[in-house]
Amino acid sequence: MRITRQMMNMPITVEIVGARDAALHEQVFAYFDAIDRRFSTYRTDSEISAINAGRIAIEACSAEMGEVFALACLTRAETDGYFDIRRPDGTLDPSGIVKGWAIRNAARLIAASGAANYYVDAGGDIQCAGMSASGEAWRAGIRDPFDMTRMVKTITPRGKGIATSGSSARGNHIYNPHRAADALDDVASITVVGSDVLEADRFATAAFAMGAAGIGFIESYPGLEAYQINAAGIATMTSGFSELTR
Amino acid sequence: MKKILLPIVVIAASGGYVLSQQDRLANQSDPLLASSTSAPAAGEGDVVPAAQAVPEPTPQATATTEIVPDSPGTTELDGDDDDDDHALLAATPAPEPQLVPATPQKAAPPMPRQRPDVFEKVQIVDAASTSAPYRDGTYKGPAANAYYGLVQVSATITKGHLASVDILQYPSDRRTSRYINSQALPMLEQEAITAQDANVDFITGATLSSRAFVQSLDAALAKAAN
Repeated sequence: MRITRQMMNMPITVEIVGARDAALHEQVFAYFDAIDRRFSTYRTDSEISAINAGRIAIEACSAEMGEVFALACLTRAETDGYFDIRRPDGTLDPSGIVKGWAIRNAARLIAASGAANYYVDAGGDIQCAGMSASGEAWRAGIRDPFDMTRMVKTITPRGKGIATSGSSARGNHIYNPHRAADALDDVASITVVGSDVLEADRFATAAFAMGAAGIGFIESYPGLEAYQINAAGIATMTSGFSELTR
Repeated sequence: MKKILLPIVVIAASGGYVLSQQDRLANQSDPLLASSTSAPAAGEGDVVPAAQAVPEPTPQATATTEIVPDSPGTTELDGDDDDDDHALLAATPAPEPQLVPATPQKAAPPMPRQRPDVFEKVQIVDAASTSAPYRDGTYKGPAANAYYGLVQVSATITKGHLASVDILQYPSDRRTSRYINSQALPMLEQEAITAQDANVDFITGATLSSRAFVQSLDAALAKAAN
């Protein structure tokens, strides 16, 4: 059974093969809602907003917030600072890691119930497991960053996590792919495949921040593969990426 | 082939690379070398003396075959006849052009292979010196891996001085699947993106805001209506 719900300003899809009712799906959506209430920088009453406003001291943050901060700290160290949840104005914005972390937790929630065949897709970051309802491996499409109605690549993640970071999130490059102001090697999007969606998400965020050098960083990091598309529509892939297209 | 006179420093850099490779290999007995070809690839480093006989290289020198330093991902021959394999087979310094006198080398115990820098230390060579350190002749350097392809030069010594340099090989091959972008990344496969059939379970892409999602849907429906 597959259910899609608009939450956190994005479509979230949960499919659990063989589920007879929506109870587990609803648990997942409730979890995402709780994540949003704690971590959304758009909610003035969220914990992250309270921390940023000084109403809560960082040392007094919740266990979940502390876990995300610790992961962010680790990721910053692993990426030479290209991943950093601290904005230029000094406030904290963990959105570059919360989504992947939350999807991973949601997938664990489903697995804990005994389900073996499912996926969770939140805004294009996906964790899957097992097989689809037709008994085949789950297949993912990589969206064309210049045309949201097209795909440019299909991969078979086989349980690995997928995340994509890109400039289309800002809504600029979707409709004007030939902006003369952009250098041709500007990165339009980078799709990272990692051991789970948390790994994929945090490194996709960092790699995108590195610009054209991001694909080289992913190539050098064991356990990650990536497909990077530049403004000229040329894709560069890591050396193990083709294994995912078989 | 282009026959040009290059600045001395560029020539020295090529010479410095060759010399440093010789020095390094002469002091190593790399376990890899036992299984590699003992003779240099045909035609590399041939010596064509203009006036003088060149002494035979020492046995140790000819037994060395350089395994080209790793551009990432090119550690072994994979038999697909691309630049990587040629670089592995062909980048040998022997038989030496003998720009420096050959000295007998002792076999040293195997040492861990350091990953060499692409740019070796440059030895500035004053080719115009009056002490005429070079024997007249035309000497081919090895086909050296310049990281983005093979570079090979040939130096002509006249009256003990460097008279000219020919460029024999230069990486002009830009295969569509392997070329470096402006950031000088490792050689990763590239392709132009093309539309694929949409038989998938889910789609990954940068997060769409709800507004963009609707706009995208509108655009897709408009296309479908045409």
